[in-house]
Amino acid sequence: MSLAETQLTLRLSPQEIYRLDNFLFAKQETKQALQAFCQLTELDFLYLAGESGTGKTHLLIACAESVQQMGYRVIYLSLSELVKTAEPAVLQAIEQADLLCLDDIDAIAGLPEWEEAVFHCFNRLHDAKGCLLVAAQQTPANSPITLADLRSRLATGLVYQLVMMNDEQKQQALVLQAQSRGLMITSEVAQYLLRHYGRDMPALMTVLQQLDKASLQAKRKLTIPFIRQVLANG
Amino acid sequence: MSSPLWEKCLSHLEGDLSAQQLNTWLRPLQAIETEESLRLLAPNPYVKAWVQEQLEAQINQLVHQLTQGLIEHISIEVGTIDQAPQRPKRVASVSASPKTDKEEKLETVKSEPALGSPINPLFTFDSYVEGKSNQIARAASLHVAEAPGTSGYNPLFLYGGTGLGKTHLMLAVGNKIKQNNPKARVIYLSSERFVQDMITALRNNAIDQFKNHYRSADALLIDDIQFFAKKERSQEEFFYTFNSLLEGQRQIILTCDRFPKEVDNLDERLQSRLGWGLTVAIEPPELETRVAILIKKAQQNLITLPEDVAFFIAKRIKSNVRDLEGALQRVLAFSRFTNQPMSIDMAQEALKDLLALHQKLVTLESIQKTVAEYFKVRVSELLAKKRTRSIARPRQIAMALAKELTSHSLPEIGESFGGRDHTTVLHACRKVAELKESDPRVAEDYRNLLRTLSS
Repeated sequence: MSLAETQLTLRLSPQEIYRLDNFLFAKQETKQALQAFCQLTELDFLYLAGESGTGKTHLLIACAESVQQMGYRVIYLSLSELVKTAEPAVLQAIEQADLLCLDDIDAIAGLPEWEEAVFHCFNRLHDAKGCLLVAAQQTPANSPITLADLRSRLATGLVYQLVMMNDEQKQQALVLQAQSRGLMITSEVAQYLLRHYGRDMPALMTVLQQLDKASLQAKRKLTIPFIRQVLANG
Repeated sequence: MSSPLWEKCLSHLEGDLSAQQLNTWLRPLQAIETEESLRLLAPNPYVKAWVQEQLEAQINQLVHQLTQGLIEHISIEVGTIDQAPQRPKRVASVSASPKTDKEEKLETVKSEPALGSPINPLFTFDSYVEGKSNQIARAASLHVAEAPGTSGYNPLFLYGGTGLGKTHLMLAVGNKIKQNNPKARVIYLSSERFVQDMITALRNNAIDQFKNHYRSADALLIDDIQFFAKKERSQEEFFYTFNSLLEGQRQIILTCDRFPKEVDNLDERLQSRLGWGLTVAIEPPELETRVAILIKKAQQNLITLPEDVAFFIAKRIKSNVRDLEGALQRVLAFSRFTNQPMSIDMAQEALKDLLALHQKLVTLESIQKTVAEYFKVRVSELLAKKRTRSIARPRQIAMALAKELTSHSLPEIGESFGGRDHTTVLHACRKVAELKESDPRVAEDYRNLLRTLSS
């Protein structure tokens, strides 16, 4: 769909969608740690570990947004995104950030040039007294990263493990997410989405994003028939 | 971010990109909006190139539409506006020169970075915990600090596994030299920084400045020189700097993760020169040292860690100081966020995830894999019948490690090594124990493997 065909609508920015307070934390301690970390005053390195779909990206972006709101320089990088399309040199000069968020750090495992580049980046950030937030599938002790120097540096972080939500929690999370986008969905609709569009959270979030856009353009509420129609076209 | 127009653009693009893409490529851009133009500043040339390639047309179109044609073009450049407020300093990180090198308004990519890295004033001999594993290295470093360049220990070459305190010791020397002589020029940097500075100097036709800068040091401290490997031009430059400093009786201190002769892809002349002074190893800390390190690190966080809790952690985390630090962080945070006083029960609860993962790592397969990689042989060879020395020795070491690190019985271990008899395993364990006494190389290999497997 080109822009010309689409009516430009007032849209939400990420800071409204990804927040710490619209995330379902399994442990309060994790939330408190992240909130404290976002002040950038006492904790300087947090490491979130969890399987895919446990909310790592949500939390990283939420922290990035909240810190950016305070006027600090923040850089968020998805390493799975970077290794596909860029060279390790893309990590040059990013230690200028007050906060660096590195998502999907496992994506560089087994790629010696990337591992070394992240290692040097870590050191430069450390020298510049920047703060670091890392997300990975594995804890540092089990990290697939081969460069020992990088692994040991990752081990210095304050590690929190995120756990997979059950279906009921996922439903709740969907409703919460939709609300943050200004969409009202009933728990029935949430259940429908879960049943028909996979139980994988990142995929569900993409679906929600698509629905958000469609509902704004069509000025329709998110009902099951409308959802069926939109997703059949997409 | 200062530009409402750019904010609007971003929220439109949000619908077309994944959150990861949006945040990786677009959020790092800083925008400067005027009445006729929108300038986007990328942190480095690579981000700039990506955005231009993938999204420039779309951004142009959006801006055009959003401003009803008032702003025709956008430019994407490399640079940064430093608008961040001064971040309050963390308790445990007193900075020598807090971000003063951040240039004022607009920093273009060509601006010259300051050479060398700041020396953290917290890394002193007082804050360094001495133990059997590092006392020789500490004594040598102290000696060098008192008589830099003239102690006979030049270069001082500190080597050992990652996270054992090499950098701390090196910086302690740097701080001591400056304390004794505030005018001394002590330059500290990583080998990577040396390479980068050299490349920048070459690009800006400033190689003479670069040379003068490093050759005028009273003490040059370079970290992790194993990363010089394969970088021939940098090695050459470093070689000349090295010679010039030695001739002028200036002190050189280097750290590395291995013995000079074992650094691959290093120029032979350089390799031999690295061994001219004093080469000392730092070993992994033993239990008492680990306990002392934990207590000291907690103190730096203004917290008193009870000795029994420190013992509890130190007994379980054996690999290196960074792992200890991570575990300590976790315990301190748990205590703080759950309002519980320090106790063994609390530490156990806090480290539940971390410890479970530390322990389940060592299996017979992981031992075979690690040993094979270490000795550069194939796992299949370890399991095969072949009995030449080059295979038999690694096999015996792997068997001994399996006995030490797993709870498998000798027959089970034998079985996993290509169906060997348990007496073969027993023989291997005895042989390795004997060799560890008589052959320092074997002892070192065994220690290295033990460390790798338990970290």
